[in-house]
Amino acid sequence: MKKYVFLSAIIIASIVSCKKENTTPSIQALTFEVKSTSSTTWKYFSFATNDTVTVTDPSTSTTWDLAFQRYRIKTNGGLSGNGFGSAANSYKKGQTGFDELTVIPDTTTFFGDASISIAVQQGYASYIVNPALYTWFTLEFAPQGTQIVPSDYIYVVKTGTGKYAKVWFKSYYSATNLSGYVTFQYKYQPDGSKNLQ
Amino acid sequence: MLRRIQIFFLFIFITPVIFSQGVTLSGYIAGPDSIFVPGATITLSGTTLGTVTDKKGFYKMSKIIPGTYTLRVSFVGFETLEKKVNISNPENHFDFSLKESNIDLNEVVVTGTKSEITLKNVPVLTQVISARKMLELGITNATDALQNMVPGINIRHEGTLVKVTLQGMDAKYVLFLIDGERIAGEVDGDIDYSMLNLENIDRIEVIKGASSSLYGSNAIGGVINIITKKINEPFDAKLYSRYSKYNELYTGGSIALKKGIIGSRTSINFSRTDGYDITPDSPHDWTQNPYTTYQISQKFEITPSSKFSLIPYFTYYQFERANVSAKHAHDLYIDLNAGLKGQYFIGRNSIDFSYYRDRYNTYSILEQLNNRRDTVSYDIIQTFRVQGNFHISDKNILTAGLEYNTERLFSIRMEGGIQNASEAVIYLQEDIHMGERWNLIAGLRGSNHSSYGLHAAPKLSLMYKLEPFNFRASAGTGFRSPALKDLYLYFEHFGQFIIEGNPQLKPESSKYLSGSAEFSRPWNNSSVSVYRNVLSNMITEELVQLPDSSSETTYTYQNIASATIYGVDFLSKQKIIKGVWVSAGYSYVHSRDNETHNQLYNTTKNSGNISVDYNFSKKNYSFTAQLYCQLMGERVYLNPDGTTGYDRPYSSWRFTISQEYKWLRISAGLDNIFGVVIPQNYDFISPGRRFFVGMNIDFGKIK
Repeated sequence: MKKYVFLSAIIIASIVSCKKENTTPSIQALTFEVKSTSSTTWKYFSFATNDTVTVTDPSTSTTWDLAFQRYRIKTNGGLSGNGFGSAANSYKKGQTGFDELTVIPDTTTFFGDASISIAVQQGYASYIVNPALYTWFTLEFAPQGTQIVPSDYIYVVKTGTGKYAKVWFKSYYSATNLSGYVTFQYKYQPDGSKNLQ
Repeated sequence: MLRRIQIFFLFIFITPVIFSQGVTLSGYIAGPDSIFVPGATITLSGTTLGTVTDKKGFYKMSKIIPGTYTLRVSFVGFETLEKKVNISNPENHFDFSLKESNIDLNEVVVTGTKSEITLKNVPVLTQVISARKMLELGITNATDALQNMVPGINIRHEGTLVKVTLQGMDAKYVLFLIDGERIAGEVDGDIDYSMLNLENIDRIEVIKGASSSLYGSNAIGGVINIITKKINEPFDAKLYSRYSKYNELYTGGSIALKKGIIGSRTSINFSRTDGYDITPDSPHDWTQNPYTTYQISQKFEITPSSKFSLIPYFTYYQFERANVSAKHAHDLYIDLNAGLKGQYFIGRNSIDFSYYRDRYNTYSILEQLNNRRDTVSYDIIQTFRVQGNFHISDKNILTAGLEYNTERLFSIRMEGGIQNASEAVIYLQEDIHMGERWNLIAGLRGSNHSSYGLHAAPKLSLMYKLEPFNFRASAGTGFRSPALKDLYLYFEHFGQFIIEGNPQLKPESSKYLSGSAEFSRPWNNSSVSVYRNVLSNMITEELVQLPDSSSETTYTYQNIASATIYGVDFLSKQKIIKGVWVSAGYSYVHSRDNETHNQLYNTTKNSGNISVDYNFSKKNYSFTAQLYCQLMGERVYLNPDGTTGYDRPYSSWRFTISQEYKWLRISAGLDNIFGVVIPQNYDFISPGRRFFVGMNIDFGKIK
């Protein structure tokens, strides 16, 4: 483990050193596809590891930042967890919006997870999700099944440990045409600052 | 013994070849005012012979075995002429003159009896849509042709699916055929209708009501049989194009050649559109998706003698839909069908045999994976058939057939992926004439199906002729075999629910009764028919708790629903003054689910159409104009949340002008004249007023 920390420290150091000419060091944009095909279990994701993580008790653990169940998304805070997790919609959109959002404004209001009412096949059901992130998609009803279409908003997410990331949820469908595969592009700032360049 | 049989068959096939020197028949075909008619088709019943008149109206047939035949001369706009001729001299000469008519009851149809019979003599009321009519109206697809000309047929567009209902019954209960053969790749009974290339079609025959005694499964609500063109001309080549808004292009060409014993017909077709969306609130679900299709067909007609013909053919078709969805994949459909038909005459009797195979593939093109082609499903159907048509006497024709059908379906949503079904069939039909006025047809079909075993379907049709009236009555049963999907589906929806097939399913069945009266005079042709159809053992999805299943909800199929449908159809065509005709059609359908007592979903009680046609023609030139109006009543449908919705009634108007000068035809028209746009109505997906232009070049007519 120590070896890896050392290694990543070297990598980060080298990136930083490479970009010395910039006034603010730039962080790398990553893309991840989470397989959240189950409608009963949650898949937990950590920005720091750029991967899904196994969590035994999600209400106390701070190792996870986002959780996925089909198209529903949680953060590690509010009613969902013990961490600092919360999220806000920047109301910027697409690649341009993603690039423009270089620093999180101090006026941003973050929302923790709450119980919200969601339309289902027969009436409504209550789910604990992140209310800000719930706007990541729109439903398009079609005769042959409903489509989940990304709204392309850029979100700012506070992680379980209180760090910041910006996230763009890009797709709900896998390359093999299956649903329940959420693809998102993000930039995670490990130093705790609101700088997301 | 075996050797004897071999010799017998050798004898059968060689005899006509020896006699094929034969005698000749020739003559001139004239129209009114003794103007010769070029392009008229001449056929001789009981033989494989057929030809068309040349530019001078002259025809010639050779290699005829001396005897008495029925000669048939047909040409669009004229009444088909039928004459008994005795051909005995080495050279025989017969001239005929044709009568101009917009009503042709001598036209030959095949669907009602599985043998060639004229419209006025067929005991099963048959409606014919001719290719010529479709050409004049600038219609390029079969579904438009059906909706426009057959009251009671309703076409719905649900996203990418096209759904047909006939007399209140959905496509599961309507059998679509091409030259009497089934079409692979159905989805809930609906086939891929864009496969039906109008350039290859001679006519479409529509029979309403049960016809399972001849056609087996699915022939409950009706049979729609697409008859492809024959090869009669020595040379014929055509090019056609139709263009409309949204870059909707339909174009192609065909070439037919006939020399000696071999005839060949090749056609290619290309169509595309940019698509459009009249529901901007769902930008990833378009009303008409953009698509591209290609089709190539090849048919040979080999006639070694006047008594024997062999027709090998194939068609390749592909349809690719562009992606407008939020997904990273789009659909590609490929169909390949091929077959061989043979016919052998022994006197007036004939033996037909055929083999047909149709494979329909559905692919998913994965755009993020280098456009990888993944098979979603494929469907292969095969039919072997031998049929004999025996003239037991002048008043009694027996048709007997043996058939073996197989189907193989692969789907990722099916138990084990691949499933098979097969069916062995025997069918018999007696066509008995009693005096000059009465005609009775009795049919029976018995089958043994790999899934549910033995099944029988009888039918009786009766006709009484009393000039100018024809009265017809039919009683019969129809059935629909459970589809392979109904038997073996296994679909788990992300741990929410499961849909499981039921291998114990029995066929759905129907009892059908109908009566009709037809009036026919050169200035008017009208028919009114009433019918009642009772469906039982209908297969529906039912919620069950299977003993071995966990907490998941499971749906399966069961034979429990029943429905009663009755209605009346009316069709009329009336001459107003020379060249001007008014046509009207109306259909009333009362349908009821016997359990809920509600009207069946996706049905319309009232529908109809009215059109006014004007025709003018002189030497080398013809002009047609048509004003057409389609009327559709309120339609009831089921919302995804279980509530009932209604589509409001609408009318749609179209005006078409078509002019033909020698080898060139130019058509132009305006679709949806009043620019009616009804978003969310799947019946009527018109994006508003649309002009269209079409051009046809007939190289066969260029001197």
